[in-house]
Amino acid sequence: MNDLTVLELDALAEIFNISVGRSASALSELTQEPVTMSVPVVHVMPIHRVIELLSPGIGAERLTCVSQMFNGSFSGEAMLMFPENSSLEIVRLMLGSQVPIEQLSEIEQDALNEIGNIILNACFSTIADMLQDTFSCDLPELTVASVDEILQKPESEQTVLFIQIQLALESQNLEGYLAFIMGSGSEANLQQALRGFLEGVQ
Amino acid sequence: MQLFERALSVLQSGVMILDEEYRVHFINHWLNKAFDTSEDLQGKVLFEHYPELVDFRIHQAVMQALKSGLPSLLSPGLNRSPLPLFRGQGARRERFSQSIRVQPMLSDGKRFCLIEVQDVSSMVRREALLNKQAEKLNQMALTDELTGIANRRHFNMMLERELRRSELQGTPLSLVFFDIDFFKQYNDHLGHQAGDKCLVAVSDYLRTQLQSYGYQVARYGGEEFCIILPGQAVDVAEHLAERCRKEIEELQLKHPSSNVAPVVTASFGVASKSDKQPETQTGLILRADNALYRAKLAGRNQVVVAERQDKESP
Repeated sequence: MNDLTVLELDALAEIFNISVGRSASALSELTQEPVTMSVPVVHVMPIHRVIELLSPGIGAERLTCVSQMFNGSFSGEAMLMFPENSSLEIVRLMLGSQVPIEQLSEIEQDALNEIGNIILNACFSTIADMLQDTFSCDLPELTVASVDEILQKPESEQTVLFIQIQLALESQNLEGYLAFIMGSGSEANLQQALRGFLEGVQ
Repeated sequence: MQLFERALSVLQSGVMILDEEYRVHFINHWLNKAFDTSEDLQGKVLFEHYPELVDFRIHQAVMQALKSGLPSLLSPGLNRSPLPLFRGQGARRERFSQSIRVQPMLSDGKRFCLIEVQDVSSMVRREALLNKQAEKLNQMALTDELTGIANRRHFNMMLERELRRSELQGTPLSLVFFDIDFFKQYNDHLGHQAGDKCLVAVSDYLRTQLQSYGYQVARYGGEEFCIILPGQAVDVAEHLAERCRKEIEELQLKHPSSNVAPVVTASFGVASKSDKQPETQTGLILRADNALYRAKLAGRNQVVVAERQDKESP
């Protein structure tokens, strides 16, 4: 298959902007707090580039990652990642708790898992609409670990659809990342669907 | 098959299967009993029976499972109690906190949705308790034991926060340091208990007088106190320090071994950060402490304002 064109990447950015926007309003409703989300950049790259990009310079800050496996004409693993500190911030702002503890409690972990689930599901349904396909999907799983541990996959040449997410919560701006680690054929199917989508627009 | 059904009926958590019309295809004993009804829910359309659930997260999650085949998780932190489920009897009957998983299922080409419910009220209660204790410990770590006002650690945190705010909003910030005059002699002459009472009396006065203005008071250590005045320039701080000096004297706490007065008095140092000048925390504290030092050298029971940091010292 060919690399995605600039036009195709822009279309993807727009599509993801709509999905995360939708999940932002779902989260606002749930938490009674104003939440806004946007997608500044969508990029496609091999998994080892993602590891390089997210590796901290000195000291190993951990990432909090909510992941869901998915299967269909688009298959692989979807991950929503936040630096551990940001994830603490998000969950505390959303749950309104005050106590500064350095680790997520059980309830906070579950809440974060649900937040990830809402965002990932919104993206899945958008992709499914675009591909005019449904796929089966596992329940979300939460991991807190280093970038290496989270993204260390046997095939380091797998392609990742990498999306930067900006999340604004009570005047705080937080950054997270969505990564779709795509199985073989998924990228081609995605590209084909994008072309169809763009032709429909033109 | 019968064995599986029997297992589900004795299971101590909830299982329910809905079909594409949201009709209850199966519900286990535990879950049916927890619902606020004596009816058998099997065969009922869930959202017709409980219309108040429509458009809430549980409804959306079920719809997403049946329409798009996506699973959802409903956590107790974000949804206290998504379904009207109760436990206990009589007066102790209460709606309990739940953790719910919603998963799509395919069988014979038909879509179903599996709802799995757990009672997590003991976890929620335990965590609330831990939170309360953590908050209490936190409070203890920031409060001066004797006087009940902020301690030095808390003062440092407050000053850091106010400095940042002042930097961001371009507002001034003032700091007052003061020291009770001849406090060592007071202690030596009247005993430590009297000394402690004196410190409590002064901090009680500070707390009642100043906190309503949004000024923050702290015990820096020993007989040394400080006041943070967010948003206030040097003239307001100097005026306030002068008022405090006068009113501490007017508390009329006898101080037989003082060289400046027959009663307890204090010396004050004032330092301010103007709205334009950047200033570090240490810089501001040093200047206030230095002004206090000069107030003591100049004879005590008085207020000295630090030189502005942008002026050359004489």
